[in-house]
Amino acid sequence: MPTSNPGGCDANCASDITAYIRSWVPQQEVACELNTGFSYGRRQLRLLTRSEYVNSINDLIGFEVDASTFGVPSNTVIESFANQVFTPVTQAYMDAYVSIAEAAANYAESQNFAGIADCTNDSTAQCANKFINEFAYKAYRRPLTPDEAALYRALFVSSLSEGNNSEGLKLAIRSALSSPHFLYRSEMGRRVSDIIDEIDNGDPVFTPGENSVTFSGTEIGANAGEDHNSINLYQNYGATQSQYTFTGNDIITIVARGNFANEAWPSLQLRVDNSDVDTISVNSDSDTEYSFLINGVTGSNKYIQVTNVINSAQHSEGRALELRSITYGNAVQVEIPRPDANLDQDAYVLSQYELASFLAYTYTGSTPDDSLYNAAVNNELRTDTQIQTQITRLLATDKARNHFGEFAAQWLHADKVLSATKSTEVFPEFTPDIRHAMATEVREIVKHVIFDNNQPITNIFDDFSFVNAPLANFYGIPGVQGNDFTKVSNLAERGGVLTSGAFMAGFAHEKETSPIKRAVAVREDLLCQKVPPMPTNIELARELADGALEEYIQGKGGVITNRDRYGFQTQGAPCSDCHQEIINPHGFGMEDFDAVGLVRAMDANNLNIDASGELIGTYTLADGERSDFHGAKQLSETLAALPATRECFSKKSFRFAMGVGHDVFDHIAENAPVLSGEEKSGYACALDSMNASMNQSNNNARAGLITLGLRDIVRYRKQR
Amino acid sequence: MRRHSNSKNMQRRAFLSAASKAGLSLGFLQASTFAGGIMLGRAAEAQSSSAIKRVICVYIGDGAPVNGTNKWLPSNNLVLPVTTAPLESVKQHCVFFSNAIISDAGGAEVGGHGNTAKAFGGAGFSNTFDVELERTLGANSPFPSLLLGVQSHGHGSATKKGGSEIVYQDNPSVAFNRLFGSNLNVSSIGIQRSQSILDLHSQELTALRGVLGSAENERLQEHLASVEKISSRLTQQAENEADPACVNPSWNSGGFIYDSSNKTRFTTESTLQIDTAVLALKCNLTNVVSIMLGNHQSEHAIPELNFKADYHQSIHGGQSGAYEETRAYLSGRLAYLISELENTTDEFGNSLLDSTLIIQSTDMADGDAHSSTDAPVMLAGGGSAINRGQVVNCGRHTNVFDTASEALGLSSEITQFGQGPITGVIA
Repeated sequence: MPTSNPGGCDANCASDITAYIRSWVPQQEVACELNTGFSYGRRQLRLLTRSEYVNSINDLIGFEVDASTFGVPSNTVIESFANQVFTPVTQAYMDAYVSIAEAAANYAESQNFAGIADCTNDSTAQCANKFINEFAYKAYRRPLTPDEAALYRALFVSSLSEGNNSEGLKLAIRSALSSPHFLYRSEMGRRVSDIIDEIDNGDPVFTPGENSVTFSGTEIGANAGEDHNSINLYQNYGATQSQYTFTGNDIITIVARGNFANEAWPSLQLRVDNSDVDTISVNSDSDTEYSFLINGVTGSNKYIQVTNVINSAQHSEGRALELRSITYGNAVQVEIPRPDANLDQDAYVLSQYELASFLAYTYTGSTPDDSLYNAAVNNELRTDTQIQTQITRLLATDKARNHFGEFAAQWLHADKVLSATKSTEVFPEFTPDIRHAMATEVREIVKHVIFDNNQPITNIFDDFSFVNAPLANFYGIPGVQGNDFTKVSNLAERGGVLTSGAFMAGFAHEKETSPIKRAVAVREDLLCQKVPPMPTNIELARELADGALEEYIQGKGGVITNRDRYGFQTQGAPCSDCHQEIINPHGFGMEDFDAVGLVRAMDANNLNIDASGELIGTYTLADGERSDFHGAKQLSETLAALPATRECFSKKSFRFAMGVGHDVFDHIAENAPVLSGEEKSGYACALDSMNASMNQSNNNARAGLITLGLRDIVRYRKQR
Repeated sequence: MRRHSNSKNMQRRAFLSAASKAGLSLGFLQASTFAGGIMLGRAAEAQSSSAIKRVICVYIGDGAPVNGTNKWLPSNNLVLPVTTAPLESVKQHCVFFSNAIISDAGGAEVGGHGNTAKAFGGAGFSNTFDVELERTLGANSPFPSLLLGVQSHGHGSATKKGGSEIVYQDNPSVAFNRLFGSNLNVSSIGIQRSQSILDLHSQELTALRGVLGSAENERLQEHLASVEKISSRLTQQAENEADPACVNPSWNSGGFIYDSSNKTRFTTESTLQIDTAVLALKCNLTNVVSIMLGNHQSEHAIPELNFKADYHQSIHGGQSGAYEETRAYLSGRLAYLISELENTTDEFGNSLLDSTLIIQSTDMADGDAHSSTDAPVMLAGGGSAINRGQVVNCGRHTNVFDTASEALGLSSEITQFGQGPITGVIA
């Protein structure tokens, strides 16, 4: 406010500002409508986050990479969580992905491609098949389509590999690890109406059964030492097959390649038991699979003939057909599960592979392991029991612990402490090692509460912590040795995430605390209440407060406490609209922890700390419920007893897993998608289920996490 | 107002003509990295225009102390107040805007925290102005645009594409290496191999778009464009007489090592990012650069100042003179950029500043008040195409982008962000 015009913001002005602030108070949340049948999540194509990307590469080939040093941009962050459901792959991303894939391929070569493909003594064609059959599906998290397999076989052709399997493998690895099918995890699903149409009207799809046998090399007429039987135009390969018994419904799969000559590819004609089956164009110079369904042929000793027949193109002697292998197998019709009749026609059903990826990344932060992938192959992610078995197994892994440690760090902003500005003069012992130890402390507390001893989630506010010796010394906790983090219990002055150094120092200034930042963090992170942002155009009131502060300090003898300073600065409308009840009362109650997270009774000016506090609005901002406390540790006890904190865990983990909040995608961003009432209702049902499961399981977090993975909104999606 | 004739089509024709004459310089490509480091030297595109052909958008968060006594806006005879004083030596190259209002597409005042992209015209538009420049001015560059941040990550981006905020690169070494890279020996078969991968990805993305239909179409198109751009880099024609200064440029002589946790080195980090930007422009690796100096939450601190706490606290902490000092520091960073451009020559021996337009914008007017009016917005550079060394009435801050579009001859290709070009700026 200009000093010449202190009344510039009159009653109407203040009223307008207050109305603005109130407009930010969220409306009552949408409740679960149980009569809506199925609930649907949203279709998403999620670009892997940095950690998902790094973990996946490590799991696939053992290559540990710091993605940031290669230039992978930092994660897109939505409402404090890494969230890349809308992140586009810009130039910067693609440049980095390509570079990392190349480095990963070189690493794989240095390890003799262990775990990828052992191509010792193999031809490049055989090596290509091994790559496709033993590795590529892991990178794509699903089997490759025939077209995709052909693209990979083409990477092994001599013009690129120079006949060298290592070069072919490196190229294939580079491609797979920078492919869109690796970089995105799909939650797009397949439309219900399309599935039903295929079941009702489509041709049946067959796949070779278990009783299959493959012949190659000299068995199919190749010269000794050669991979292919080269069949010139008009020539054929024929043999009486005595080692396979036709069942009347069989599949013959031929792997072959063609020589493009005189503007045309060769044509392959298959005859079985002296009857034409089909004639197809072999339009690739790399080995490609071609499958033929054989009906009505039974018994063994049937004559098979593969002919390079003339087609409409001009004659050319060079148009050879090169036969790589022939596989005989009983045909098994691919079962397409009929979607539940109550699903909406415009809904989408995740494939078994998409569901496996969701489970893997949600619960371990990385790509599916063999067990999970095989479950998808065998359609064993269809029932709740099957899915729950997998989730329970995944949650028992070290990966899961680490993954939810990262969840905790994002949820509670634990890594703010790493870079928070601090005065080295005032806090010389607040070293980088201490900062890192504090960030680890939060992760360890939450991991312990989620995974050990079936504890209630509210134990994150209990009187224990995890520290190493340097951090214990910093805190003044005796009896801790070494750099490993160990649990320290029954702490008198601290314990839990609220009183952690990461929270108290992360939400603080250079020399003094920030009761405002701390208070807002308690509301938004621990109670899941949205605090209105500071309104715009409040300059008159701001200037008034700032201008009077110095005079106030002088009137108090030249020094005042932090509490006094913020109290003065935020008094009076419009500031008091938020600060009087929403922020200051409980923010001031944490003043017994200084700017680096140490307990204090006096401030730097030797003024006594007043840590009396009150949390006003315990379930919602405006419910008027009050709870007195003194100091941050008592506030921890208060929070531990509130239903809002338990439910807040569900809401935060929901967002972490689903890539969208239960009520809003992003409450600030202008272009954020808006959730419909139907969508929010479905998410409310999921939250209700999570909370109910936790209630029945001593409020343990794992129960809620498992329940989330079983919900309709995971398996069934809609285009939003 | 004069319309320049360097339209995109003319540029493209001239570019293609020059490229066809240049021929493939395989030896040159062999000395470069795959994903980056292709020094184009005197790029064909650059020959097509002698006017403004480069733009740097600079974001400085949280306005300036402008309420009450305006401590940013110079007088009409260019007496600089405290927070613009560091621009004294380059003020003759600057246009300072008075009465600038942080506005959305409809003209509503939107100054304040959140939605940082409003600084570059993003309020009400799905693309910010720098993205529009990337789409047009940068279309033929090896790198259509560069986003260089200085402690910018974590609280929104000034750049928005298709409605999504785009993260800046805060690590100066990574940003530099992406452009100038190491010297892996990429043989001709190496290039073929790389192209085969990119071809495969292009086919996959095309197939994926076909399967998904309209869903994710725009995003996958962006992905495909990124793949194709790398591919085009591999085949892009390069002239033989590459500028030695671009092959192995001098950079980071102090041996700085980046640490994302260490927030005490804003000056060094910003210097290096600016150095990279200038080098990239000089070497015609790009002609669109965006720089974020901090973010709207202003968590960066400058230890060498008297006020040593973070920028945010300097604004709201109530300490007299703090905001002025920290904001003046950021003007000093801008002055460094302007002077470096002034002292660097392009391929024709002219000052780079004469062919580069700098737009400095922000997300609010007064950081302490979260206000919209009298926002610190300015232009610099542009040579004789711009009437520099003056204070000009602005109105909506988005009018500055329309002015830039006009000066670049791109008005017909870039959406009008405000109410049109500002009178008196374009010569």
